[in-house]
Amino acid sequence: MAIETQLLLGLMNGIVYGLVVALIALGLSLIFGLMGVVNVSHGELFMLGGIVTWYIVNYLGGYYIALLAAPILIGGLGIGIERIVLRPLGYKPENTIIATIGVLFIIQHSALLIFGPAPRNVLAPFDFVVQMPGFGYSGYRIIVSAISAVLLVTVWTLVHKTRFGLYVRACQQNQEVATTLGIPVNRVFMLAFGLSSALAALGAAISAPLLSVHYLAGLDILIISFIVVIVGGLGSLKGTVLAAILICTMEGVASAFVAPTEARILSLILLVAVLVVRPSGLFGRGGPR
Amino acid sequence: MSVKESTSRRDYLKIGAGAAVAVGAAAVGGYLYTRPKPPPPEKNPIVIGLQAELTGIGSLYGAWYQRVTQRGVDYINSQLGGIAGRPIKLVMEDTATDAAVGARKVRKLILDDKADFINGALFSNVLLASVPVAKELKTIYFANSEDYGIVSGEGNRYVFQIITDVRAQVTSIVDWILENVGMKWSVIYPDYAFGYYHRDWFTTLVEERGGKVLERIPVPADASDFLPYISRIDPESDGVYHVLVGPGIFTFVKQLAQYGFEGEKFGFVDSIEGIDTETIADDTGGWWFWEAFPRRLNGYDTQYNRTYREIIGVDEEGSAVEDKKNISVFSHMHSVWESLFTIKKCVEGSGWESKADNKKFIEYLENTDKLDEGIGYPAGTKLFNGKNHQAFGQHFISKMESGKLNMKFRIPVDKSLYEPSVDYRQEPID
Repeated sequence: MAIETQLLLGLMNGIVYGLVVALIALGLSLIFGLMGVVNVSHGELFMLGGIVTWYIVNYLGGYYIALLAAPILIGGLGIGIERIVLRPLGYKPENTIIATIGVLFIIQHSALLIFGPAPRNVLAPFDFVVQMPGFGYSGYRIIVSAISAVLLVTVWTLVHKTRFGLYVRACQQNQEVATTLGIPVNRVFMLAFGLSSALAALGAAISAPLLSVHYLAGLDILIISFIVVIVGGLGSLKGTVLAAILICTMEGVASAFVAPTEARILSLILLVAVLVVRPSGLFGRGGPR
Repeated sequence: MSVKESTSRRDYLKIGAGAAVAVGAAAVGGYLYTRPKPPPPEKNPIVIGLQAELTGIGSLYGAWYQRVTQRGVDYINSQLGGIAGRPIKLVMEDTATDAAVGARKVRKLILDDKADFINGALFSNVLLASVPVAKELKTIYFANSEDYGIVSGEGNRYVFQIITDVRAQVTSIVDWILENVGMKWSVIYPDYAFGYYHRDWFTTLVEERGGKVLERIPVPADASDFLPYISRIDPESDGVYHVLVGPGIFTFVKQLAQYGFEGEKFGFVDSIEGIDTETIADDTGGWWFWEAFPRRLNGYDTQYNRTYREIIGVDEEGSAVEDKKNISVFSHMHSVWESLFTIKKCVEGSGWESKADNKKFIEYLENTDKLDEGIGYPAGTKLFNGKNHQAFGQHFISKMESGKLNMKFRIPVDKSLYEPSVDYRQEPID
């Protein structure tokens, strides 16, 4: 394959993957920016979303049902985690990191026990080949990136044009003042966590046909999500989205020349470079106040 | 403001006390549940330790290794009078598919659980960390791996392997491949030792016979998109030889199918162990797969295969009888079974009574040429080479047709033989 073809392929894959990662990492960014909570189990919520999708597709026979049900179910789980695990700990970073590591292990090993260790695939609800110069590209991937873009716009609209979004931004700016203004901070936190988990599950549901469903799938997505959130700037949704697309596209293009591990090294170098120049990330405000 | 700004000392103490009680209870409970139980009243069991990948990326294999070993032990104890009249006591430990954990668990099995023999690991990283421990603690260790390194210098005199190794696999199929598919190949392999052995042995053997490997394409273990690698397949190739493993296999299969390469595809069942072939039916029509022991009964229908399946609870399609969606790792898991029966054969044949007799056991096995087909070796008669401690078996080539693996060619055992590069018999046993 000629180098230009490889570059085009890498670019397209990077954009598709970047949009999906943006969706998943957005949830992480939202609750970090809002609550200062580092949710180490975020990757496992993604993994569970994939597993729930598999169960629904195989036992209820509908992919589109899964697209709706997985986010709702995992969103509900997220709300449960917020109330049972995080709220009693008062959202202190050192507590929440350890607690969410515990949640990670519980979710991961429950998945191992119930779903089992074998990877399984979810068939795409449709597929077609789009002829590009030099290779055929999966039409489903193009649709996935379009859907992710639409969802990102939806979340932006939610955060910037709805009352809930207003509350979220208010809490992000100053929690104490928000409370004095009558904003139900606890409920905002709870719903934000639910939304974050639902986004991870939605990302899993749409990308399940691309990535295969496996009980260890959460680890890799967790790492890339954290890189993206930190480079984009803690607390900045726009930064997260841009960083996701930038990093994944860069890795995609780099994969025309080097192995994925080496491409990942490049991302990490970028991460370090960004943090040296702008310690709060590209658009960061330094987290919640 | 109901969100706490800080945790008061009283709350901290309460949480701390609660956590300590919980952890204490869990620890006590765990100890009581897992401590070595005193041996059953029957005299003098032989302790076999199973070192399995129960969690981590190897857990698919570990789960089946555990099942087959347990049922093998139960069968030997209840139907065959144990080993030399002594019951087998089975102890299992999880390696978490991690080298350091695996090595520690071997030590624990030998020192704490008093294991006389170890039925060992599949994954090379765990295996290579474990075998020095086996030698240090003078315990005979059966690898269940397919690893070639272990029988070409990275093992030692205490280590044996009954399942085939990569070099034997490649040796067995290369003549068939050149005759039936073609002389020009592209090879796609994972970018670590297992893949290198395939790449190197296939290239050497093909070129010795006048064929040519046009392109060697390494794929990193963490790749999730395979198009950049698939696109490097040389269009002049008669076929692509692929041996990728891992959850990415679904994506790989789909992308290879969609890529539009006209030649044949030759792969190994290792790529699709535990995977329902119906779910990849559309993409893999006409693909060839090597199997050590055909997943479907009709690939090698013998009374021993049937009895074996009955005992371990696997149906004619290779799934667990209690759950059709639980597909077994059929070409690998007979390894732990055959290792168990080899222990039985050699204990009884050599008169081994305790680890003081290890030398007798080792020499007995090293002098064994053949392991006859039977309930202990349901995949067919094996030949054994005492020099590198490796057993050799027959191999099978199957074709995927409408989502089912149909066995087409049986490659007799002598086609897989090679001259070992080491002679472990030279190593002294003190």
